[in-house]
Formats: sequence, structure tokens, C-alpha cells
Amino acid sequence: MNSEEIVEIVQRINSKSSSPVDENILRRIILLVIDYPLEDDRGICQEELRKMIIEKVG
Amino acid sequence: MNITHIRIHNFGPFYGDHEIIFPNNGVGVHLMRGNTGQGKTSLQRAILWSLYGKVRDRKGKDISPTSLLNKVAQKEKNYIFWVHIHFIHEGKNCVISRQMKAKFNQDSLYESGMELNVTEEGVPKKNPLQEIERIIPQDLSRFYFFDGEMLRDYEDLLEQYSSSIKILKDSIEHILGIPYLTTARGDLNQVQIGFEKYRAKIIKNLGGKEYEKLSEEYEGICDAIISTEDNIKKLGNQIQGLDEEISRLTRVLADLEPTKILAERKIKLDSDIRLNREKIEQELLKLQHLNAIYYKTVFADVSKNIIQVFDEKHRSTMEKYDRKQRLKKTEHDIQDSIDGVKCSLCSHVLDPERLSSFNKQKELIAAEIETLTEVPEPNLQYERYKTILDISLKSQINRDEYKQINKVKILLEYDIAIYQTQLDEIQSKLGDVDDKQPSRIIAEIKNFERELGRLRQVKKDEEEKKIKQLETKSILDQQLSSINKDELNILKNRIEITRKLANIFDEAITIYRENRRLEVEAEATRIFKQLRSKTDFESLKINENYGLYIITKGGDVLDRAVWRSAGEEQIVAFALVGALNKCAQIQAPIFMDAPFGRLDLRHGSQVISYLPQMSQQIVLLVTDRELRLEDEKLLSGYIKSDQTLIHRGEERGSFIIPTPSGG
Repeated sequence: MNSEEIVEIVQRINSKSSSPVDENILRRIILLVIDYPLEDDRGICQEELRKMIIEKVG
Repeated sequence: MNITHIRIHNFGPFYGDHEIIFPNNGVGVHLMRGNTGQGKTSLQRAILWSLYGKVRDRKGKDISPTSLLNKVAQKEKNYIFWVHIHFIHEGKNCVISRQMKAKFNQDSLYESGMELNVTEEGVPKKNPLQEIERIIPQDLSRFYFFDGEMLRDYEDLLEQYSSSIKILKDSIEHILGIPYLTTARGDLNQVQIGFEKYRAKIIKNLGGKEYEKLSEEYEGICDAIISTEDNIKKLGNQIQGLDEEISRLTRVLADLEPTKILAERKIKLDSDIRLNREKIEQELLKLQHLNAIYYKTVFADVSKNIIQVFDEKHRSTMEKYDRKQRLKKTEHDIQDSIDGVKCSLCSHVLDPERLSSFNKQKELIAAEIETLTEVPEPNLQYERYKTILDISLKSQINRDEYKQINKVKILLEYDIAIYQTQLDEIQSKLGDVDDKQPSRIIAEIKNFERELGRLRQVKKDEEEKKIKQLETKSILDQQLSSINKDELNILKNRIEITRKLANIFDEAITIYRENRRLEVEAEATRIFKQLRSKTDFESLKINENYGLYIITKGGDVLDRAVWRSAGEEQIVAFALVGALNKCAQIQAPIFMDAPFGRLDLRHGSQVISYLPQMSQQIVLLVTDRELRLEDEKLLSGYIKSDQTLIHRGEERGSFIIPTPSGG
């Protein structure tokens, strides 16, 4: 799976925002959903995202 | 993913153990030859079954496990079959092994006795089903395992209103990686809702009726949104299910087209035969009527004679009668003359000579009258009989009428005989096929379409409801955000960043989708031009639903109805499949069963030349007719293995052997 095109698009959208978020978190989210693509993965993937956001903003 | 070898046991026509090796780590073109009935399709099914645990026949119906088990093994009560796929995925050696085993030959027992294992470098994976879905998702298998007939699905993309477009659209978006973005957005939305509900709980714990009411309202609206989203998802699944069913039935109907035509012809012939039989009945009635009055014709000559006799008799009688009447008048006149020669007062004879002459005349007349005294009065019965006979003569039958009736009858019977022969032919062609099936399927499709319309409306209503719920939530959000407490501020930040991230992914979906669509469009056009012999078309155009258009050099969009040609449609379909594989986010081998069956030689050769560019590993399941020596030359250097499937009768089943030299 080539995630670079997706990463590049989300980073570009973010950079145009008036208050952009850390680019690294965007990449991490993409890699996470690629690792957990299935319907059954949703619970674990959302928990990882939750942790990632708490880690980011406290 | 590249398949290096496959092991099969008691699956379909493969009795016992069989192995197929794809050298060069699977990379390159691999030929699997075999004429019809040798086991090519079963081989492809074996792989699909190993991956997904079920396979479908050409009509889209699931094949039962008892039908998958080899027939000889079944006779031997050896109720076990398995398929192992060895492959390299992301540089690691993996194996998928699926086995079905039962004590008795019953479908339910096989289902419960199914075993599936996936190993990576010899280490078993915890959840094999999920592993397979990660490697090659089931809904994408259509892009990697297909036959020439399946190209029709893609040809449907040329029909802008086809129900299969929706199904294909989802698969196409999946293969292009769009669900990664939609999944990220969905997950972020769920995380945001989690934070928001947590915030509502904290506010509730702050105390005070106002906070309590606000948080309850907020929790309520969050739950309502989750419930509405759940409904929308369920409705979406139901709609997709119906779309798939309609698409499957449409395909079955297309397959039944010859049956439909035959059934319609049969109904027409039945009706024609019935109509002709009715006409014959009418002719027979005419004949019966003619027979009823036939005696008149038989007696016509006799009648004529009788009439003549009657006429003659009548004429002669009348002549005598008339003469007697005339004589009587003359006698009366003479008597007047006799009286005239006597004095009217004294009866003295005035002219004895004349008197004597008159008397003589009177005597003569009296004598003549005497001879006619036997003449009867005219017999009116004669007239009546004559009239009857005259009528009878007039209604005598013209022999041509008989001829005409017979002629019509023979022609009608001849037509019936022809119709009957045609009907027998149709009946033998139809065999045991149910000729009522097409009309039943049409009715079923109509029912499904009605239900589809209803579900779409319900889904639309739910979506509108969700918009209103989100508006309410947004107002409550503002109120909650205005509460200034440390913990709440932290949650506020979490919610805001999650929302911001979800919005970024939301925006990215549209851009990424458009980029990928343009990429597929460009690639499909490139392949289309490479495969096509004519040069009057400029490009392919793909709309947001992945519907396809052909653009001419003059810039016109061609209507399918105008250029419709089976060959062209297949090339367009092939170009799209090629482009999708090229742009796919998943790398997997392509198995093609009889891919060139519907292509003419020229286009077939062009497609063959293109194949090595389509994927790292291509397995071609072909007949001799499909892949000729000239075609093989086009693949020179790419062919890494050449094997043949041979069916050696019911007892021994199919075998896979290296193709003997010389093909």
C-alpha cells in the first residue's frame, strides 16, 4: 500500500488551514487505518486514535 | 502477493493430491492450458474457496460443499477436501490453508468442520479471516480472479443507469484506497463523540439543574446521532444487497436471453397452431354444410328432366285448355249469330241459308269441344313442384367450392405441420429448462427495484434527520464550550483537534477521489489506445460514478447506442480493468479464465501483448483456440511456466502436468 499520496494530500490541506495541526499526527492516523482496515478493527483503531489525541493535547 | 505454489486435495475434479508450482517466485506469466471440461474453472474456484470459504457458479449462486468434494472421494466416503496457497506477501513467506471435513456427506457438517489457517514465516496468525481481508479483500477479488464473461460487469459501466454501477463503484473505490480516508474520518468522528459524551458526564457531575439538563440533552442528541448513523449504515447495506441481487438477476436474465427468445417463439407457435386449428374447424363446418345440401347437386339432372316433363305436360294441358276455352267462346259467338238470323219477336228464320251454315259451324265446334271435354283444369301442384325443383337447382353446389375448401384446409394443415416441427425443435432446445423462468425473474427484479426505491427514500429521510440532529448538537456544543473549567477546557481542546482532523480527512476524500479518478482515466485511455486498432477515438472519460464515455477526436461524447459493438465494449472494459489494477493500492496475482473468448483475433492479440504490464503475476487459464502459437510469441520472455490440465475420466479426474513440448 502506497500511503504517500494520501499523506501528501492531507498535509497539503492542513498547511492551508489558519491553524494547522502537527503534520506527524496526520501521517500516524493514515498508517493506523492502513494497519487496521477492517470493520472488526474499528474498536482497536479508535482507541489508538483516542490515545494519540490525548497524548497530543493532554 | 505472489503465489508460488498451490496444493489441492479432493477438490472438484481433482481427486487426491495435486500441486501447481509457479516458478520465479510467481513473477511473470503462467499458462494453464486445457480445453473445455478439463478443470480450469475448478482450479480458479479452488483458489477462491481457499481464500474466502465459498465460491459461486456462473449464475452467482453459492456452490454447496457437497458439490465441491470430488465425486470419487465421495463414493469412497472420504469426506475431506482442502486447498493450500503458498505465497509471498510483503517479502514474507505465507500460507493459507483451508480444509472442510465431515463425518457424513452433508453441507452443514462440512460448514461446521471447516478449518482455516494463515501462517507468516511458519507462525500462525491469530485471526486468519482478517489476515486474508488485509491481503486481498473479498470484494476486490473480482479484479484479480475473473473470466471473459465477467467483463460484462465492466461493460455495464458504459450503461450510465445500470444498477451494477453502484456495486462496482464501491469495489473500484476500495481498490483505489479511498476507504482508508473514509475510515479515518469515520473513526475520528467516533472518537470525537466519545470525548463529547465524556464532557457531558463531567458537566452533569458539576451539579446544578441547568448543567444537568444541558448535559442530558447533549448525551441524548449524541445517542440519537449514533442511532441515526447506525440506521443509515444498515440501510446502505440493505440497498447494496438489493443492488447486488438485482445485478445478479439481470445477469441471469441476460444468460436466459436465448431461453426467453425461445419461450416467446414457443408461445407464438402455440398460438398460431391454435388459430390454424380454429380455421380448419370453420372450413370443416363449411364442408359439413355443403355435404348437407349435396343431394341437391346429385339430383340436379333428374330435377331438370322432371321440370322439363312438368313443363311439357303443363304446356300441352294448357294448350288444350286454352283451345277449349276459345272454342266455347266461338260456340257462344255462333249461337249469337244464329239468334241474329231469327226474328227477335216471332223467331222466324230470316236467312235460312246462313242459319244452316251457322248450325253446321256450331256442330263442328261442338264436336271439337266434345273431343276436348277430358282436358282437366290446370293442375297448380305442377307449378309448386316445379318451383321447388327450380330452387333446388339454384342451390346446387359448385364443385369449385369443395376444391377451395380442401385447398385452404391443406394449406392450414401444412402450416400446422411446419409450426409443429419448429415447436418440437424449440422444445428439444429448451429441454428441461423452465421457459417461464425469464418472466418470473423480470417480475422479481421489478419487486426488488420497488423495494430499492423505498429504501433509498428511507435512507434519504434518515440523512436529513441526521443533518438536523447535528445542527441541534452544534448549538448545545456552543453552550457547553462556554463553561470554563480546567478539565472541560482540556476536553474542549481534544474535541476541537479531533474535529479539525476529521474535517481535513473529509476534505481529502474529495481531492484524493478526484485525483485517483483522473489517474484511472488517463491509464484506461492509454491502455484503450494500445488495445484498439482504430484511431478515431481520442480518450475514455470516467465520471464520478465510474461510468465510462468514449470521446472522439472531434471532442464528441459517444452515446453507447450509437457505437455499440460487443468487441469495442470488451476493449473498454479491459482497459478499465487494466487501469484499475495498475492504479490499485493492493498488489495481487491476476487469474484470467478464458479471457479472450469474446474478443476477435486481432483484439485478442493486442490484449495478450498488454498482459505482462497488468500485474507482476498473471495466470492465464486458456484453451488452445484462445492462445495460438502466434499469441505465445507475443508473450515471449514473460512466460515462466506452462502447464496443462487434463481430465482423465470420471474415476481418475483432472491432472496438472507440464505442457508437452509443441503445446
